[in-house]
Amino acid sequence: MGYEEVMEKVTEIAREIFEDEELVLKDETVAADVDGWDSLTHLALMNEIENEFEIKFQMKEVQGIKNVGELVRVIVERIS
Amino acid sequence: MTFTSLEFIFIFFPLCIAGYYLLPKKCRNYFLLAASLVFYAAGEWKRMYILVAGIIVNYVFGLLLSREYKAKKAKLLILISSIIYNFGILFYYKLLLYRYGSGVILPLGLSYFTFRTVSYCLDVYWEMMPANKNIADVALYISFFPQISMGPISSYSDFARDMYERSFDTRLFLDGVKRIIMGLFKKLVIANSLVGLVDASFNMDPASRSISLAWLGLIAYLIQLYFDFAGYSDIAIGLGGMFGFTLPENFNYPYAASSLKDFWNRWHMTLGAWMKSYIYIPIFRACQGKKMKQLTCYLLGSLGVWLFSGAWHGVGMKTIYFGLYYFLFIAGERLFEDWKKARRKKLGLKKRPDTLLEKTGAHIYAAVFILIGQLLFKCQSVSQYVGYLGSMLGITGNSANQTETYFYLKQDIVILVIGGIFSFPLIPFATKRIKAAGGEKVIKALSPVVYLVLFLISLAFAFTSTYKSFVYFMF
Repeated sequence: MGYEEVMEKVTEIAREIFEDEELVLKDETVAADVDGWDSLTHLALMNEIENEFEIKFQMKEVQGIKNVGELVRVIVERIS
Repeated sequence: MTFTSLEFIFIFFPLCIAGYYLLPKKCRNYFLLAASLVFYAAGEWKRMYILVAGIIVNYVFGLLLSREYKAKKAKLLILISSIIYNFGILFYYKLLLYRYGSGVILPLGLSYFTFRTVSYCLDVYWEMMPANKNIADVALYISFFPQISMGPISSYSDFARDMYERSFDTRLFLDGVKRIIMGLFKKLVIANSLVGLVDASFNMDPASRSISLAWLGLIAYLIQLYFDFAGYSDIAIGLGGMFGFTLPENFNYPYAASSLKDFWNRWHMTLGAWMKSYIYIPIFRACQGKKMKQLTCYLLGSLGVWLFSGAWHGVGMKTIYFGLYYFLFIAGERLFEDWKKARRKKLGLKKRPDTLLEKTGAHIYAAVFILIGQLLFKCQSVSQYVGYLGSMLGITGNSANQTETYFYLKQDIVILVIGGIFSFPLIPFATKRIKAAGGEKVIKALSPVVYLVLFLISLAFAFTSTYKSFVYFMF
């Protein structure tokens, strides 16, 4: 699965969790840009992504990922 | 030596700034370390070995945690030992406090440097940061004098960035000066002035404390507590800024909160951030790993945070009550949000912004339960708490009014009003309005004068003040 596809899937999951059908994620999107992205929804998002792609994030990724672009890159790296 | 003492303002602080900027860049971290150790020794010479041992032990733990081991559990075991060592000392002193009462005084900054040592070990364990090979840098992180006595608590990852990459920034420096003046004013002029009223109200027995004095005393206490700690934090952040460090904010107008969760996102924010990173998220992730439901993970993580917070904020049974009070309210707020979300889904409704009525209701709800929660924070025992609450409600056989109310109201009215104004984001709001109306030049011209006046008033209070301590020193 390529970068674009992963981004699409992540967007789909994020729309469900943040209850926003029109949500658009970009590489530079950070938590503060998205309404409702707090620690609880962040952990829910991480969990959904883990289930969807069958991967496991490390703590440094859960707590240290800076923006959506970095998140997608980590997923791509993990599934390839 | 506290930040508001004359020896700090007129001797230690000027010497630090001068020494720091006279020295070449590569010596500056060493200079700050030396200054921090002098600062600590001046306040806590006898038990300074606890800090020094903490530095050495955690430096070694850091190195051990950054190595690879054949045995799978070896690293985890080292991590657990480090946590037991660091929290063990804090726990020991809390036990002494429980056993012998308030005569026991915690070593200066013990809680705050414990948060830092644990942060260091966990950041290294999680590979968020490499272990530091230079013991002087680890020592600076643990003992940095602007933060050691009462925070704000920086995570190791954040502090390390500034430790190596900061450069002189005029704006940060000048904002630092302003923050220090603001902090001195908050602490010396506002918080300290209300001590008399607060003590008078809380030391009275429930039957002789009138309803009016009970309310006045509690409101004064809320203002005192906030300005005491926020004033200290301003000074700490300002000091850090003058040395080129961007320290994290600790307060964001907590009394303007719209829920108890919101309150704790605005009050002692760095403790909240610390508990989130090192308690809540690890518990939550462990539960997710066990395939538990999202709500169960949330409740367990949250319970962990509040039991810890309770234990940190007090001793004995009170710790449990304090923790459970906030846990139940905040979990309740979460369940209410979940219920609203489920209902929206069921009815196919969209998320909409709150109406004015809902917003007002939320603020009133938050104000009432913050008031009751802070009362619990202040009271030494449950009986004192019940007695005080009884006085407020007028069910202790007390009168509605008494002469003390008028006396203190007359004495402290100016401070209470200023405190009230500064407790809500009215000044930033007004400044924004004035700027929008083209008054930016006026603000720029007036600002130095205002700060000078605030500084002079604060100094006058520093010279006459007899109350030397800070509320949060006792933790």
